[in-house]
Amino acid sequence: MSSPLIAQLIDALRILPGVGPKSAQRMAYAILERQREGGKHLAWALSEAIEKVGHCQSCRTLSEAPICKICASPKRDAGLLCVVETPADVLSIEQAGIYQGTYFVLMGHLSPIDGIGPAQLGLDLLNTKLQQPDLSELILATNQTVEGEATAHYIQQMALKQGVKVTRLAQGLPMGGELEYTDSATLSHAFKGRRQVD
Amino acid sequence: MLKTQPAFILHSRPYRETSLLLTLFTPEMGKVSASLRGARSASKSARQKQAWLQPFQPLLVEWRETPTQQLDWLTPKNMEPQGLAYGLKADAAICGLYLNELLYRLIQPTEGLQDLFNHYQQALQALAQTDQRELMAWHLRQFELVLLAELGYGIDLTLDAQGQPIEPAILYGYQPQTGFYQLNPTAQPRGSITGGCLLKLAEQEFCLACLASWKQLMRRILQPHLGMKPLATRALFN
Ligand SMILES: [Zn+2]
Repeated sequence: MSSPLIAQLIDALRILPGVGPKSAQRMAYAILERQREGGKHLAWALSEAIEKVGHCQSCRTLSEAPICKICASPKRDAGLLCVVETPADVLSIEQAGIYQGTYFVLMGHLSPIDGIGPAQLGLDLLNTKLQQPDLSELILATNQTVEGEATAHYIQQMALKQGVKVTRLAQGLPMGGELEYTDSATLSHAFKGRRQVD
Repeated sequence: MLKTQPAFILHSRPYRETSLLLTLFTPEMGKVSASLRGARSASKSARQKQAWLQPFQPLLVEWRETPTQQLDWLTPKNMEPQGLAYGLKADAAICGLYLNELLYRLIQPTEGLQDLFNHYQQALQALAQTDQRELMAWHLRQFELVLLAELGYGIDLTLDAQGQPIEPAILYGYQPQTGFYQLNPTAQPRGSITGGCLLKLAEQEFCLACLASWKQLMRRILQPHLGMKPLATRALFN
């Protein structure tokens, strides 16, 4: 019989993606049997990150500072604003090295059944960014999924009301394609071939 | 026994490392959940699946029926696209998501929703073929009526609460428990509808001037079935 504390640890590990009861049990025993120091470090790193990583006040991506490095950098072109679904999407685009503008991270997409609407995606904040006079182009880089497209359409309507030029990534991305899983070459192609939508 | 059913995805969410937890709409089982492995990763096969594991895509799902199978859960042995997705773009896609939210909220694991399934396909088809918001709204109202009727909550739009025929020139209010009642024509309170608009809705006759009151009416009719939580898709129609 496993002790209550071990059971509690196993249970806690199961919040991780891809971790079922079996893997959680393996992890718990690995930590307690062989990795106590590493486990302590993990606990510390976890609580530090949870306490200190928040959202950038400007683009909503995960950030330790109130304003993230990209938003704070004078080298980035504030005239370009690229809307993506997740921080992982920012990473993919940054790794492709094709874009020098700024981002807005939705932290998801419109998903009515999950109760995720405009407010949950921070679209009021995006709307204030759309009113900045130096903004020249809004690039919609949401996923090529039905919900990603619906999100892009909704934001596009918002931008048109503000008179902002809107572009969408080129069709090189397949239907169902999630940015996170798209390789740099395809992404770079999609950025270069972005088209204006109206 | 191996069973197959056509299906549409109403909702999907990530599950485990590479799986999706799907909520499907099927003609024979109503709303049913299914998990599908290997649908979320950078692998070629996962990306091919992502392309058709989308709302509005007709699917065929195959599973082995067992005596202990739960009514609301199936484990697909195979799942594949059946023809092209209904190409709902822009406003039409939001309308389609509205239909999905309605179905998700209102139907239960059950038997025999074949007619509703057919109507759903017709509604998707109709939405895909127009870019006019007024027509989209009309298709939504028609589907809402069919949905209520198929779930056994159908209402008679031609009779008032006293069983008297609806008169075109009279203004009516609606109470979920009782039905339509006559209103003082000078009052014009919110949520009122003319007999003329009610009869046109009953006859499925499109009318631009009735659209707004039809929308209000259907909201009132749907409300008791939806409960306290409003439909989130409504916030997207602007
Ligand atoms: Zn930022």
